[in-house]
Amino acid sequence: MTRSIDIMDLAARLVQRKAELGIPVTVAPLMNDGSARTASKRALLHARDEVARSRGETIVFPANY
Amino acid sequence: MSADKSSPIEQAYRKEFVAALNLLAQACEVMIKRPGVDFKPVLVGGAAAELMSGGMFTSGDFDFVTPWQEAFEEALIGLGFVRPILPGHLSRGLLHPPTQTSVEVVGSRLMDGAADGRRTFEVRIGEGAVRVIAVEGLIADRMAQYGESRRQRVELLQQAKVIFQLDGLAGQVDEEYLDRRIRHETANEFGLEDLKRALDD
Repeated sequence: MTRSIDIMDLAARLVQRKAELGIPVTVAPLMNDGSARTASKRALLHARDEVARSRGETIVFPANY
Repeated sequence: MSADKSSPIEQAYRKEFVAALNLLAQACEVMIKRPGVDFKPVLVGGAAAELMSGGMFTSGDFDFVTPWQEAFEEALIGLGFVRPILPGHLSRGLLHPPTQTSVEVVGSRLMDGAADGRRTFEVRIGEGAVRVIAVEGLIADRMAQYGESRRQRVELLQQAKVIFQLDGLAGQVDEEYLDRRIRHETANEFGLEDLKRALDD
């Protein structure tokens, strides 16, 4: 049988656990350093960001690549 | 000090991440209806870490494993994803320009066949659900990548520690299986005891 959880329940659980462990809920997220990305992945992320820039949009998934 | 009145999902995740997951769940629901497809793609890597860390670590993209890559990509294209033209590179991934979501199928077998697919789980969102790598496999993968280059990739140990500590599935982590998965993925360099010891560092 497939284990399943609603994202609202998962989020509530994680927020609660952060509080129990003393981890600020709004801590500045840590980003992957990008050093292990494949050439294909680097190219894909670059293309995505170029498309966003060409549309005058802010990059919403910032990534090192 | 006023209490944060936003919902847990708003506290845990970026709204762009939730929007992307919603979109990907729709693609998974389309794909699973295809004849011959009997298992949804499995979310792995950094996006799975973002999901199971409550947004403490952010990912730039979404990696999946599925033996039905063509069916999955057709479902994504049906939802507006496009394959970018990348001079000099194989276009392995797809982009969804309106949401800036990028997706890549990084393999056909979960952890090269070493992981038990029955331990994956689904996260329901919107009208669909995304299947996610087992927490044990996710932690083992982070430990293995940390082991490959400790000095540069210390954030991956941090990810393994946080995902283990937060225990998003509320006590469902199988520690014996987790130990086995860490040992397998790190060629016995690390085990669960090393992860637990690192919690005190």
